[in-house]
Amino acid sequence: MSGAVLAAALGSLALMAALGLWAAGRTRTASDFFIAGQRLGLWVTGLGTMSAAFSGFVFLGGPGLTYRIGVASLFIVLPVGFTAGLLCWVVAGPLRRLAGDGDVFTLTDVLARRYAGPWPAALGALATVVGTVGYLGSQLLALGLVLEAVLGTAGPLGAWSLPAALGAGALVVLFYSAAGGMVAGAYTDLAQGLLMLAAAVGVFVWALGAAGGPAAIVGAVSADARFAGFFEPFGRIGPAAALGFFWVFGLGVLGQPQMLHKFFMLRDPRQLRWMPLVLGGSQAVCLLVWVGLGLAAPAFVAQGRLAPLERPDEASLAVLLGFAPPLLAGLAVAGGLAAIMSTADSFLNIGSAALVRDLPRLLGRRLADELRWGRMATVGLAVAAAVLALAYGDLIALLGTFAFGILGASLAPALAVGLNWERVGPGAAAASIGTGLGLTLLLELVARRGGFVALAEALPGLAPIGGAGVPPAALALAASFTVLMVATWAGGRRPSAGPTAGEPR
Amino acid sequence: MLVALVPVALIGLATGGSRRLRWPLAGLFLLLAGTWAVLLAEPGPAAGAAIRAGAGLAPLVLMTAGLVVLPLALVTAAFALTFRPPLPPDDRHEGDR
Repeated sequence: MSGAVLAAALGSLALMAALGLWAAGRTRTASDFFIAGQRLGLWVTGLGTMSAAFSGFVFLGGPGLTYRIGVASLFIVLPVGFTAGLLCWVVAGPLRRLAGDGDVFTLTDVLARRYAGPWPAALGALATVVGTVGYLGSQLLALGLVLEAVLGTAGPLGAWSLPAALGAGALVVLFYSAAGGMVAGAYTDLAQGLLMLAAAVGVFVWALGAAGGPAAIVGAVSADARFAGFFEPFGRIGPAAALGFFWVFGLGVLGQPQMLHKFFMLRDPRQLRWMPLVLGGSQAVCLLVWVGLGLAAPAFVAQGRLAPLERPDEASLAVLLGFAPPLLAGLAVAGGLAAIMSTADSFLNIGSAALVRDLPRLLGRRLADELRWGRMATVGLAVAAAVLALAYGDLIALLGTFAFGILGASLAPALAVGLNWERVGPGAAAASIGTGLGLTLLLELVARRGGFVALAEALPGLAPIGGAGVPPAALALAASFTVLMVATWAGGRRPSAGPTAGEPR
Repeated sequence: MLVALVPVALIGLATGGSRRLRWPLAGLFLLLAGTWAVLLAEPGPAAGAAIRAGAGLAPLVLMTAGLVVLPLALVTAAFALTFRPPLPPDDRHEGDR
């Protein structure tokens, strides 16, 4: 293992821990802990949103999924062309307006303020906790794989290598998340976002050159039967799965708390004007790492320079640690760690807010010291996510897509439509959230578990993510939108009991 | 074409059918729907032949240009040019409609 790579990895972890210590001194209230005291500027918010959204999913999971299914994997990230604008037009304004109007720290607060009755908020909090554990699990799995490769623990520790590496990484994330809350999260997200952008550009340029350039990559991969259909847009998964990816990640983004939460923290709503440029532009640049490593790994295999990968998730690390110059590999590993940790700390914060603030309040209780309980909740969430990550036993991207799908299918319709259409009532919102949460879990189980073969055969279009069928989350998101619209229309023209985002209460 | 229509419809709903956004949103819909139409129209065997002929990156270029680069430029410009800061609750319906 190169000293430069090891130094970059350890330096990255140390820098984040130091930022956590610094931020801990600036975290005095629950507002500081949960929404960074609502004092962040455009760049901190924009790049922080990008780094919270792009995670180990992009740096490790994306190239791994590309290795398995070809360029069709890009349909997961191609929606970034419009999602930044969609977020700003549809939810950023209403969320920022609500956050400036009082004690609104979380999406559950938004649901509670928008809809009368406890059900929309309670189901929203439940979906947030479930999605948080899933998404956090995918980040910890990625973190474990990176640290395992960088520290070389696979030989000495054997079967305990991944759990040990995962646990070590989780401790660092836990330390700065629990100590500094969202103040730490916001500033580490900024540092991590800048690191990710530098790594993405550097890796893309190097990877294409190292694999011989675009023509050589296409020639080698196309001639290799193991990668048949790699460059065809839908070649290895079919149009239904590709459209499903685009649908889930294009619209599901409207229900992602790790992104929406950042809009609460913006100091001045006027700064939203350039948010699509900062957020969408940085996301587009970051995608270069997905494309670069996703093309280089199969090219190296097809050229006989790299042994076929047993675990596709190893694609990024195999290319970087085996072929890249040490300084670039160090930068990329630090960028990957940054991507993973920035998302993990966002989810720790969001999950702890749901557990410590939202659910007790909905049950009519209020914890005496939310700050202290919030820090303790992050530990419980990290342990649950680590257990899920080790038990899941599949690709990072698949666990990440499942979690993204739960959050999108549960929360996107009630927020995106409900915040802008006063006729949506609490019954319709609760039905939509419940449908999204329940159906995603059920369909994922149906698609993945052998015990449900008969039901899976009765739904022939359904397939596990990466198979030739509609991803479960896409069906659940469509059903959730449909339930919301049908229930709203069926409910008549009666205005809902709660205000829309811009309405007086 | 739902994948193109729903995001555009949500933006239209959120902006109250703003006249100033009519053409940008129509452009966004045409970009997304048009790119998907071209991708879906491309038959698999023909794409395979194109790859063997050395044009393998053509679908990738089409996907990134039609679904990322051009929509991002359009959305960024339209949002910045038509931006109104979120208004206080009482003034919301007196904005750009």
